[in-house]
Amino acid sequence: MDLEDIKQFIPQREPIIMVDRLVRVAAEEAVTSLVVRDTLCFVNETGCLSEPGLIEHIAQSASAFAGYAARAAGATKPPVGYIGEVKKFHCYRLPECGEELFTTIAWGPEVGGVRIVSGETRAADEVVAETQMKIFTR
Amino acid sequence: MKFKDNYYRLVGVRNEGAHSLFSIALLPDCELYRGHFPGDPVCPGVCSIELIRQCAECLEREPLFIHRIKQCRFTVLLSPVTCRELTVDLFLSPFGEEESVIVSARICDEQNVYVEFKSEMLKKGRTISG
Repeated sequence: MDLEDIKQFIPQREPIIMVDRLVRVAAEEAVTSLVVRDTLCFVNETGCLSEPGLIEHIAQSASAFAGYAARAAGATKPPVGYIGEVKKFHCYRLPECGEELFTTIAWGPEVGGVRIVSGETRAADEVVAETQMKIFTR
Repeated sequence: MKFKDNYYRLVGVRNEGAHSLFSIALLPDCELYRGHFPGDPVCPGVCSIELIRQCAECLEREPLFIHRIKQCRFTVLLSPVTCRELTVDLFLSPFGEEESVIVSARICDEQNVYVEFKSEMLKKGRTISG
């Protein structure tokens, strides 16, 4: 599969796409990237990606990971997932325009359509945000 | 994107005891719904977090940085088509040093509680410790 075309893995469309690429995928872990730019809808008036923008980026990174797995299993469309819960979110600083984010997603088992995911976002090799979340599919 | 008057409109604010109740109108023509999701508008959960932050900033009268979210539960899916008017029920309490505030909130209407939220926010321009 061509990892470059992110739209094949996520159901979100412009103007709310918050992940650029799936960088690599392993069995229980994936890495995505996003370049912060002022055209992103969660970039605030000071040119920084907001905390909700970071959470959405982590959620869509998890969505891309799930979409990759679904495509690999033969699905033609990416599954639509929703955030059920955000827990233990920690933001250390807001990344600025021009910075490239790398996010590592680790996922736990899926129980009853709910999956527990943890995500850690780095910029310039320092952690800027981390969170756990529950994602459910309708 | 500016959220106020694009994603939501503030209709009014009133106090009930230590709680502040913000009446909010969701704006279904917001451009975000073109992508979330095509033909099936659903409010992004993170936009509810931004809404809570902006209500808290309105009370504190200064910018707030979301340092930690202890827990934020999205209990019922929110759509601007089925839900036009919401209440953000906000309770703020000072935490530790005076640069930090605990923000507890619920987003609800007469039928449902959509979001339950608890976080620590920092007044911007102050240093972040830990």
